[in-house]
Amino acid sequence: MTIQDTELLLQFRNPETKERAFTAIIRKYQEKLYWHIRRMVVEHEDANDVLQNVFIRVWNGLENFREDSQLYTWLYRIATNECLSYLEQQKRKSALSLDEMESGLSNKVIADKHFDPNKLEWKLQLAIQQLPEKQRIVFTLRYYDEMPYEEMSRVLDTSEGALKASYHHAVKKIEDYILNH
Amino acid sequence: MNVKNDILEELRSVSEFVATISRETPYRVADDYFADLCERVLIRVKTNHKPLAFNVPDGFFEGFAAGVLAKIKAGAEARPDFEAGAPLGERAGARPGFELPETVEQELSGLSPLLAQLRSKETYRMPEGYLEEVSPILAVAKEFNPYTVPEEYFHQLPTGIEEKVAESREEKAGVVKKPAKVVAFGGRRTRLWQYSAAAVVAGLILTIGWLRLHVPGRSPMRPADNITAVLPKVSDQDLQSFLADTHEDDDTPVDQSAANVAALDFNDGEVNSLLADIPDGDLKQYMDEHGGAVDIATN
Repeated sequence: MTIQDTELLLQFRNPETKERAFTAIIRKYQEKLYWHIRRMVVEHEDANDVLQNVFIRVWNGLENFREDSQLYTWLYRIATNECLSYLEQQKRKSALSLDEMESGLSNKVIADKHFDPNKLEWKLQLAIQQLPEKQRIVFTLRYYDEMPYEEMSRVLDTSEGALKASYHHAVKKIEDYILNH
Repeated sequence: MNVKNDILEELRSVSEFVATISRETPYRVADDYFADLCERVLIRVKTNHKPLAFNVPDGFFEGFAAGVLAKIKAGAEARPDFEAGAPLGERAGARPGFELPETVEQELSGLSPLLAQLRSKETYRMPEGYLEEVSPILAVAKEFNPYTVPEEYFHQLPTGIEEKVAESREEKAGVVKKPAKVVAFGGRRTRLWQYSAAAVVAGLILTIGWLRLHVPGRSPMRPADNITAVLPKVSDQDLQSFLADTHEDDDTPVDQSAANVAALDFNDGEVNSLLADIPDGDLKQYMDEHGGAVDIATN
C-alpha cells in the first residue's frame, strides 16, 4: 500500500477529516475506475450511475477496510462487482439471454456518436463485447489498466494461472473477430 | 515500466496483430465530468444515497409538530364551544355557518326538495281490499306473527347488553383475565398414536382369529367332505346303532342310497349293457370287496 493511501485512510477514519479524505480518494481514482466501468457497460450514463454507486459503497465500507490489500485493488474489486451486478440487473430487466446481452452491448458501441467502423480501436471494442464476461474483465484489466496478474487475482479471486489462460483465450478471440469482420 | 513492457511482450507472444492496435480507448467523456464528480457523490452520500426531486427548507421538520399544535390551540381559543361532546355541526373543524340537519328528511329536503317529496311516496301500491278479496286467510295471517319471544326478553335485553359490555371492558382493562386457551402442540402426533394403537389391536384380532381357525397340516374342508372322509372309518355296527337311535320313528329306509338305486328299476339287459365294457377281473374284485351292496342293488 502506498503511503498516500495509508494517509488517506487515516484521515477518513477521523470524523473531522473524513469528507476531505473521501474527496481526495475520489479525485485520485475516479478516472481509472470510470474507464474500467465504461469499457464494461459502454454507455456514459450507465458508467456514471455505476461509478457513483461504487463511491457510495466505498464511503460505507472504507472504515471497515482491513488494509490487507492495496486500496486500489479493493476499489477495482468493488467496481468490477458493481459492473457485474449492474449488467445482471439490466439482463433481468430486459429478460435478455447472455448472448442477447452481448449483442446489446455491441449495439451500444455502434450507437456511440463517435463510432467509426473503419477504425481498429472501434473494431477492438466490438471484439471485446463478444467475449464472455470473465474474459472481458481480464482482458480490459490487463490490456488497458496494465494490472499484474498477482493483483488481478486479488480483484477477481482467481488463480494467476487461470487468469493467464483467460487472457490468452481472449486475445486469440479478439484477433479472430477483427480479422474476420 | 517493467510491467508495461512485460504486458506488451506477452501480448506480442499471443497475437502480434492485437499488439499493434492502439490502446487508446475510443470512448469520449465530457471534459468537465470529473470536475464535480466528488460533489455529486458527496451529495448522494449525505442525502442517504437517493437523489431527491423536491427540497425541504432547513429546519422544517424540527418545528413542524410545534406549529401544528399551535394552530390547533389557536382554533380552539377562537371557538370556545369546541368540546368533544359538542354537536358535529358546531365543532371548530366544521364550515362556518354550516349546521347538520337533525333528520334525514330535513337533510334531503335541503339538498333536493323533489327527492324529499318522492321519498314519502311508495312506488308500488296494492289496491285497497285486494288481499281480502283474493285470500281472506292471507289477509288475517298478515296481522299474525307466528314467532314468539320469551317473556320479559326485551325488558331484560338492555341489562344483558350492559353486563356484556362491562365484562368486555374489564377483560380489555385486564381486570378479569380468563385463562388463555391452551392449544396442545403435537395434535398430529396424538392422532398418529391413535392410528398406530388401532392398527396394533386390529393386527392382534386378526392373528388370534387366524391361529384359532387355522390348524397346521389340516386342509380346509367342507362339512360334507369331512363326513365322506370320516364315514368309512366308522364300523357298520356303530352306524346301524346310531341310525336306530336317531330314526326310531322314521319310516324312511335305513339304507337310503340302496333304496334310491333300487328305485331306478333296471332290467337285466340294461345292467348287462352297462357292465359290458368292464373287464371280468375288475368286476370280480368289486364283487369280492362290496358283495353285499351289489346284491341289494341288483336284486
